Amino acid sequence: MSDRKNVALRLGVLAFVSVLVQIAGVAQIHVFGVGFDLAPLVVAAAGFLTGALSGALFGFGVGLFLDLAYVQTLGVFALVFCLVGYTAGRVRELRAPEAPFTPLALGAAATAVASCGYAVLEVILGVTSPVSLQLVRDILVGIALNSLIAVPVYSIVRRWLIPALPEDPRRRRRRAYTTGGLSPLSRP
Amino acid sequence: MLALLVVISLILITASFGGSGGGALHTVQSGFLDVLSPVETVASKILTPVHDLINAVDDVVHASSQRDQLRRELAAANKEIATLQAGKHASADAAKLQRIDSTLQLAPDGPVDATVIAQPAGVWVSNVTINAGSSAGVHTNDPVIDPDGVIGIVATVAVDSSVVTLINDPSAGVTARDSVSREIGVIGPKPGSPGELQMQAVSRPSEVKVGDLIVTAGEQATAGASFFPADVPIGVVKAAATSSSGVITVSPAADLSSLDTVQVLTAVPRP
Repeated sequence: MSDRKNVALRLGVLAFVSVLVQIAGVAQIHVFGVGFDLAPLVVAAAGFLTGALSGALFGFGVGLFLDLAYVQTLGVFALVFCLVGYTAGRVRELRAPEAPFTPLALGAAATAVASCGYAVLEVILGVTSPVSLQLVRDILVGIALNSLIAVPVYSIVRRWLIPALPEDPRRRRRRAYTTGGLSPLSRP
Repeated sequence: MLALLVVISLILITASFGGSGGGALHTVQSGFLDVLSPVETVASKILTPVHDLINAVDDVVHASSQRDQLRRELAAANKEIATLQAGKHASADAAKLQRIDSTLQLAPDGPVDATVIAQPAGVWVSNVTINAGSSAGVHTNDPVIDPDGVIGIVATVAVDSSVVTLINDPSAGVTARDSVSREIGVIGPKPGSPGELQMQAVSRPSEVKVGDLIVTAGEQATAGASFFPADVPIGVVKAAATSSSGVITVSPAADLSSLDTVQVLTAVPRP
């Protein structure tokens, strides 16, 4: 199986499992009255690891899956997560951040963009509930909660996708040092 | 590619939002839900212990604050219930007082409503303090009644309160009449029985029977004493006079150990 097909297959399985876990399990866990949201974390992690185009496609698929599962206006989650996946991929392509807190910042940013984007779309579509302090509080608590699980989620997604991805430059560099062949210190 | 996905999303949103509930997209969603539901059910059963455990931890974390909140709510509710019950009790008493005023035509006697604000504990206590004084028109020796009948006379008057001597005090001296035989006597405390009264100075005590209602006679018992309007209930004959003692025992109509709303008759005509 080619690498691209392997990546697509793994992304498909990841989308299905993550949405199922989100709907059947994670959505029912409430802390401070707010639930965890796995979808933006998984989409951002996948986009960050596989690139902007794959991230956009993956986000679109996950969003459409959620739209269908929640029996709501089709395309809302698809649009929001498509943009989240694309943006995460572009961040990796343009900046290639390697700081240890990158997954955490990525998760928080993805959750914020998804929450705000969804709220904006709902308002545009004519949801009559007013923007209240409670809504702002829920969004902020949601971002904080998702930040807590952002690192393990990123780690799981990376572990799942990494075998199908082209070799990671960082891994290659680390291996080079440990084998002793290319380390400047080991040179005569 | 991104633009294409965005356009597809927008088309889906437009079609889904603009379409009626029975449209093609809705059918697709329903069909998808039919397919997904069994999988979702299985996944939910598998994940139930996990989210139950996490929710239980969250519940434990919040249990303390929830307990405090519930305690505050309970205290507020109890306070509200007490207020409502007091209001209900007061309004019931007020209604009964109004009825007795109406029945006995006490309106010309200047009834002033008051509440007992101090009632010393103990069986031998024979006075209470009420929250009406000279500012409300209360005078010394004004008769005081409650919804059940006579309770006493005003002994001391302050600006906003008064002390009432109850009818079980030896100094009260209320003239009374048997409502059946029309025999007249004087009501006073029964020695050794703080919860009961006795009727003395009856000319024909054998005429007074057990169960007769004793009411105020409307006559002054001693010079300078209060002048109760006639026919206000005092009590019921509990034991008739014996040939040896001639003492008639009367059970007071009002519960003198538990007084709340009372009425002072401030304009009783005096001789």
